[in-house]
Amino acid sequence: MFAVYQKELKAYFNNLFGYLYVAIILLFMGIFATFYHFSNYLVADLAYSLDNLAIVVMLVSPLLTMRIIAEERQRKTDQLLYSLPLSVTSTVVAKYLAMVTVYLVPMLIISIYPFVMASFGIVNFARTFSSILGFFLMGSCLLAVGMFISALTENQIVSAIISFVTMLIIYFSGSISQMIPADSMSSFIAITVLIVILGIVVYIMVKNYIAALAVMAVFEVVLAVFYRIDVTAFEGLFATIIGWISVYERCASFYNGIFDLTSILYFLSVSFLFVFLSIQAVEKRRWS
Amino acid sequence: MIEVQNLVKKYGNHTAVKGISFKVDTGKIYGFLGPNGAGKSTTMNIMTGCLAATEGKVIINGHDIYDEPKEAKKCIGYLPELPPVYMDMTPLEYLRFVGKARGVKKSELSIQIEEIMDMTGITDVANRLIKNLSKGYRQRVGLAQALIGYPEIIILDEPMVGLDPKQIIEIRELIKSLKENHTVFLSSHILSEVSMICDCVMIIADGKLIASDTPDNLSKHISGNTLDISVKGSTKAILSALKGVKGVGEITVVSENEGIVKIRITSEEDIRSEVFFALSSIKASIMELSNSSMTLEDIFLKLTEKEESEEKEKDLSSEEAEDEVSEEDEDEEYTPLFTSDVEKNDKKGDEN
Repeated sequence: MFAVYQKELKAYFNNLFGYLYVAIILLFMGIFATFYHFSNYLVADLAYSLDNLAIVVMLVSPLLTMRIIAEERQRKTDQLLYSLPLSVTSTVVAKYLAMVTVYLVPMLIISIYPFVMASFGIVNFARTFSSILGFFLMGSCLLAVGMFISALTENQIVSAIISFVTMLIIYFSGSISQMIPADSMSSFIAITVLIVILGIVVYIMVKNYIAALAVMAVFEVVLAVFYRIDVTAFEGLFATIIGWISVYERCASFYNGIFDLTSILYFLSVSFLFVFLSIQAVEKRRWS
Repeated sequence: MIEVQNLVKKYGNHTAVKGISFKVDTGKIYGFLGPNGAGKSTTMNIMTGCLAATEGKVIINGHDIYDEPKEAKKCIGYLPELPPVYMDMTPLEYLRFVGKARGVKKSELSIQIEEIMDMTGITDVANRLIKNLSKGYRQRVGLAQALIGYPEIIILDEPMVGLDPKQIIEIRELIKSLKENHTVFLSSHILSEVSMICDCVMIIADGKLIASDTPDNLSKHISGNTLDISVKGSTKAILSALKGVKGVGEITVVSENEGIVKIRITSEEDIRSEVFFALSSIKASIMELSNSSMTLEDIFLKLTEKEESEEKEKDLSSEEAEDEVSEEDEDEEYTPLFTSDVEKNDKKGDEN
């Protein structure tokens, strides 16, 4: 497992992608920090710049995730990994940890900011580091999602584009959910759209119409039954569901200085879920 | 030792491997032969755990590749069809990675890598990026990878592809030398190559094992006695004289050129001396007389043709007796046309 971890880490810094990822994040962090903390606004709360940095991290994370599994498949090197005495689980986990390690580099550098700021004024360290922790967990989640997309595709470019779109959807999901009327019928329709998307993902994973349709049908029937039983519960339900899905929105409590255990648990479990799904997607390839 | 039991692999509706069973003994070189699309790579991928079989078992040194993948894979070095090399690494980094992943001790690894790079002739390019290497070198890096950790069983999928003639000879010698400490299982569609280095040849066509024996035995079994002769004289007289020889089967005139006739005769027994006397009695001088043994190419074609014609017959007979089929067919197991004496002895030994 350590061998794969080392290999992946080296791979990021043997080509441009690792440096590019770190550089872009640090560049934007520098710009935001200058703007909010050192020149225009002079606030001592790092959360302001981190909140702006979120979209940057989302948009650059495909740089790390696009190749992580798709490249092995494209170059047929996955056959080597399968034939080595390593389990798929340890390989995928090692790959994920390598990505998180690369992500840790800019986060550690950003952790220096509060100390610099402290020399100019009073910084609430607890609050600042809780923001950084929340931000780090959010980014790790995104990497897991990206890895899952990479595991589903065979082509790095396709993987990058899908990840990119997914990241945008995650970022804007809050605003999108607010645009949809809160009445129960609109919620019903919006959730149906989500179920169709889920069906498409299932189809991509198992390449089986029947299975995908079955999953869609089951969810839709359950949805319809609940709709029959209790229409009022559907009011504003879509926004609530999006609230669960939106990784980005979850960060808010950290920015407010609340060391939110449920959010930590949320981030960890989403990461775990997508790492698990990636393992399944890779494992599944052997059975196709 | 590898034991493959009734392996079946289905890709959707297409069945790539249709129930292959065989045993691979320690310390020998096995050749896996078949045309493109016969199921060689699929079988090898299943044996190394890269693919899961639809049915059947693969047992490597007593470890089932699915139930105990780690133990089983520790005994295997595998070179797939395309060398699985990372383009952004140098051969040295690459081999070090594979060594670590195989769990080779740090102290041994450097020595091993040096030895193996020397064996495969990649020491000169050890510090160049693999993406800048030629196909032949990448193939050799792939082969070196399979040797790291000196696994007991080395499985090579078309190891000679992409090499130039000189490299082919080198790699052939290398594979032969591996025999001392390893079991080698290699696939190829070039039959002459396999006959040169393998102790045992398995022929696979259309997802089924159709023959398994030593290269010599295979050619003996199938070719029977065939004589190639070049005679000086008139074709008519020669043919009539030859027809008079006892035990002559089919006579075919291969070519006629400047009074020299080339003829091929098949027979049940060795009739060389009879042919000689028959021709000398009509004063036709023999320029050349040789007992032709078939090349593996011929054997291969013959076996696959046989297989096809048998299947056709089966189809016809099944059409005739539509109702009677079903259960019997399902139970039917495919038995290879030939099994080597060694295997027969093994079976006897097992029974005892």
